[in-house]
Amino acid sequence: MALLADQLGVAYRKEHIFFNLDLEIHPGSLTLIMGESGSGKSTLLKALAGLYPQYGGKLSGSVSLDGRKLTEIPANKRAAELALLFQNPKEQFAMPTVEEELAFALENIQVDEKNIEQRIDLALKKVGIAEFRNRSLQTLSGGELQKVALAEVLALRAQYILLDEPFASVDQQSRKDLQELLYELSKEGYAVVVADHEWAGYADKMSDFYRFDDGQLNQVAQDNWPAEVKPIDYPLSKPKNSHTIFTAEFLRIRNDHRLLIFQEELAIHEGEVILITGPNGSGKSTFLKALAKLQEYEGSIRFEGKVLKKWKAAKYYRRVGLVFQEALDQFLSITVAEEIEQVLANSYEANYWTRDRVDCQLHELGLGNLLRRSVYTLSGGQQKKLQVVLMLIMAPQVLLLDEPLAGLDEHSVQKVLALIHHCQREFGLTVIYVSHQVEPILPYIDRHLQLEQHQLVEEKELAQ
Amino acid sequence: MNASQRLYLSLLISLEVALTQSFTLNVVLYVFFIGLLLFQGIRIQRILRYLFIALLPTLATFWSFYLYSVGNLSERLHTAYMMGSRVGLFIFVGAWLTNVVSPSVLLKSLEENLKLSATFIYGMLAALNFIPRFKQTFRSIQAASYMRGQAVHWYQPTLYFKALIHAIRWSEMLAMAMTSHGFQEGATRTRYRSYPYQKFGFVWIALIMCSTFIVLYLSQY
Repeated sequence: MALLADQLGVAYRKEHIFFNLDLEIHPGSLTLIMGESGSGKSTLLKALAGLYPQYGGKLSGSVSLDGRKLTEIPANKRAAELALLFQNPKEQFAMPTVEEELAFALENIQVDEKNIEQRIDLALKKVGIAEFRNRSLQTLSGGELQKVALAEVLALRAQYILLDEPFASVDQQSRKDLQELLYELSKEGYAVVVADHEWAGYADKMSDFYRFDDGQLNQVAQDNWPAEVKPIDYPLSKPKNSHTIFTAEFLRIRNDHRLLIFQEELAIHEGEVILITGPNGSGKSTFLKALAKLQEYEGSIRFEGKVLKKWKAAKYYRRVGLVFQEALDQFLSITVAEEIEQVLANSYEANYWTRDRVDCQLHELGLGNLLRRSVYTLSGGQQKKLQVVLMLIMAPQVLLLDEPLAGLDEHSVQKVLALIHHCQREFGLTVIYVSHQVEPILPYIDRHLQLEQHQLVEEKELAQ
Repeated sequence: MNASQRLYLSLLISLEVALTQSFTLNVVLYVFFIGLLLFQGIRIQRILRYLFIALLPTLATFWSFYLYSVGNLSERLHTAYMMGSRVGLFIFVGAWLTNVVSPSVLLKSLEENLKLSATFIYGMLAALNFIPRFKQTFRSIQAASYMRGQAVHWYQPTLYFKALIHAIRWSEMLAMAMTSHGFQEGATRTRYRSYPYQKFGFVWIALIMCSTFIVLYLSQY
């Protein structure tokens, strides 16, 4: 009884992502796989879920489930035994609402119609999202979608559950709750495999730990497991005295007829570095989108004293840039090199960004060897890094970053933050982060705004 | 009537109207379907909106047939009335069908009632679900290009090229997700919600069709 990878390898065209890899997953275990962005974790999980070679890639070796070759088990039988939760929460649903999506999966594995209702109920309750049942998937936030995806996997009752960065856009409390849930599932006899970048919260729950680097999967002995990081408390400085660039008054933002934000007043000053945090679905990304003129709202937002709605798009976006949550929204060309050339030709800080500096930064972030690659074939983490680099080369006066650290390994997180911070000081940028990874950003920020009960509140004020 | 039966009635009525030449029938059906829409509880403003949308094509059809069709003045006037009223009628029949039936219910009931392939049905559904995402993506692509110092207007192929690449990628990811959620082409599936034919639905269809034949028989114009 096990999920067994035997001499497993995946290659795209002639490039090996990994090969000769052996892995054994047993029911009742919780396995964590960590590795750098682009190391091939997602590919490994997809291979373990039996999606190759059906969806591209050349497969060598084999994966077997309880002694049967995975490729020989039809999809509708396989899903009831083995399920995969994808990295990008927006790309895994076929149906319009939560209930219909879960029902779709259960119909596929031929669950009796009377039991479907009950299974949906149980799965949603287990993940703590019973109230989402009739919600449209289109209106859910990234983190909420991940919870729905997890509920769908639980509804299928597959004994082997593979999760590809399930917490990338999930708030800290939900992360803890879901980790606890995965631990309970492993105790109940499920085999849980998680690929994650963040170490926090696993030490006392997992049974196996692997590092995946350079196509090699190495098991780490328990003695060498990293120690649990203690949360650090950084003193937060006050808002700056520089002139105000954004002001919001009686701002109301709704999504799907639900009130997300009601802000009586808020001022953002030039040169500030701000972090916005809050629970999933509270409206952090939506707030950034409103600042980026991509979201309807009531009330007023002013930029440089002028009402936001009166700013012409072309002029406004010369001053304000957004690193999109969805990486693919950012790219305009096909290859990494074309993207870099495009921003170099248009940069507002062209004197600073010499070709040497750009090359140096690309190598620093591990993108130097990927210049000829299509942006569409980069891993989730590599796409994020490229997004950030592109917008930093552009260097607009205000940079909004929506989950810029999602999918990045610890090493890359530090590099990316250092680069942002360096550019921020060099060019005097105003930077607003929305991120679920709070601690790595804390040393760099001036203000920490919490989105709670529809309001952005200064974190320092909360603590007093 | 279930969703499939509504579609059958809409198709039959449309076919009948397209193949016959009675202005009276068109007017009777026009009133009948507006009545049905009101019965469905649709807001008056919405009906006025439909009328407004229908106005231009109705007038254009009327004028072109009035001026250029064959026959003497009264024959041309009859053709113009008939063709003009058809446009609005088709809009109201369509509105009656789509107002209470969501595309996903219609597709699923067609899958059940006509035994259409699940691959076709879920492909269509996925495409429909992409529409709102498409709108968002268009806005994002435009904003993203402005942010990179490059203006992309609605008439430029770059915008559509990008959107197309997005769509290809979505479809690939979606196919993968569907497989991972147990979707297997040609395999038997159970049904969470069932959309069986309603017995009275066919009686209604027969009654309405017979009534239209009577109107046709009695109508002079």
